[in-house]
Amino acid sequence: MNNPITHTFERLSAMLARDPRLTLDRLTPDAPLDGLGIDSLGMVDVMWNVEEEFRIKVPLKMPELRTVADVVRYIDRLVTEQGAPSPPSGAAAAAAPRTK
Amino acid sequence: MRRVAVTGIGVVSPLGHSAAEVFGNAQAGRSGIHRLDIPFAARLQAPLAATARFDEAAHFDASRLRLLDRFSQFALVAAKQAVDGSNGALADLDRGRAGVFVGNGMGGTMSMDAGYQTLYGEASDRIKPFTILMGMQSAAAAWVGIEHGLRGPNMTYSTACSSSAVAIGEAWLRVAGGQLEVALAGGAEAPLSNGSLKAWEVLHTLASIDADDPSASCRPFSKDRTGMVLGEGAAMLVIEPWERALARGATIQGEILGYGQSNDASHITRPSVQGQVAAMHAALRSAAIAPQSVDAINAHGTGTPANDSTETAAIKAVFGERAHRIPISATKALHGHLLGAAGALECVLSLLAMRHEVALPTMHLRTPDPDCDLDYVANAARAGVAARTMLSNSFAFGGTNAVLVLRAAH
Repeated sequence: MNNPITHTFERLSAMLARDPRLTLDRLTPDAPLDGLGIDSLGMVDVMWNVEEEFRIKVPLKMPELRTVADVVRYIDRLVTEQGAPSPPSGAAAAAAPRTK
Repeated sequence: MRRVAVTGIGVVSPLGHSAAEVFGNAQAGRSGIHRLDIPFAARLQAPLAATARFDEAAHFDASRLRLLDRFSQFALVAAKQAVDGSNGALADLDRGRAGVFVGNGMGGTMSMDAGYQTLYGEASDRIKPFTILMGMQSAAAAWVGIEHGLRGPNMTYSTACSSSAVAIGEAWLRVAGGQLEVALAGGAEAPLSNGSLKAWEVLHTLASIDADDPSASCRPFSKDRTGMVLGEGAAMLVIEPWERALARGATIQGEILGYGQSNDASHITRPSVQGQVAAMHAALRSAAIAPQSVDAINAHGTGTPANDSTETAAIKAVFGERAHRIPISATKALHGHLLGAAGALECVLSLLAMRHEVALPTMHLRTPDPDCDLDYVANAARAGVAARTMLSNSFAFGGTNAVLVLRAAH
């Protein structure tokens, strides 16, 4: 069985890596978001995609997220709180082979 | 007041994507109007448009496109062309004294339309996250300011079909008045969303399709005219003080000599002779020239029954008997009506016409109209017209009229 953190991390990484500037080798758990070029506006875009990928609703007010791991933990919290199913979407399934 | 030179021109339009290409097609009378080939065309009575045939991916990567409505894309590409062609207008410049002035009628209507399609058409809440940033009317000017690091006034003017004539005029006032050293000024419009096309259709101002030749559907000043055709694109100018342009050895494309405005204050759509006359008089006053100094006119010339007869009467009222001897070009027959970008594109065409000593044709003028009996340069360009001074007329819904006075560089 997958470690849930790792599984979320892999799905998030696969999603982020659709942006050609975000290669998978840069997407480590401790990578700071601003170092990846994801500013507050970029986070809006990321969370819009996260909502679809993880079938969750991101609240209007988001906590401060500094690293990729922060985002992973936040997603897991929302998934747990919202009791959302977690079938990988088509996008994540297609991207899955790219994970290390 | 300082003299103001145009030292850069950028265009994205149904007639091409550079000043040279646009002028060549206009001179040859090649129309950019065509039958619309989109699924939604089946729901339009007259599926016509003048599209810019613009490959967004050739100019922007995917991450930028997520933030840019089509009208902002047009503005950025046109502004870059203008700056690149200006031979260094932005070098050695206090960027706080450089401004952006963009006219636009409908904002990011493509993005808004896509959002409504998601919300209402698909009953989904997954509206795209940057819809507000793409749809806001000031987006084009804002992006041009960011792209070129211009920290002076960043202005968006929305006065319907006169928006970009107003933008150029207001920029001219700031540069002529000494407040700014450089301005990027013009207009951008991308109005060809499904909702916009339908909304224009039900207003009964759009042309019927010419069954034999859809590209000839817009026929300004012709008795058989049936209306306007929507077009998309952008035109941007670099303007700066004449002396600065000379000092840095720039190629001067022409001079902005004056700008006048008026408001009909009478009807939301029906044009007024009095209002148009007032705008032309105001423009001549601001340029400190007499009507006799005007050698040619780029008409508003939309091809609607109401505009063309009203504009003809207004030109007669300003120029008297001499009106019959002034070449008048209505280039919307070729590039369609770019709404908030129309005045800027027609300003560009006027500058190029003077530079090449050509009067551009009013195409598809088949049937004389007794109410439109001036010299419209019908159906073929006229060479050897050494116009030194031109008016470019823009008359808008809402009654907001704007007229630019332009002078040849030579």
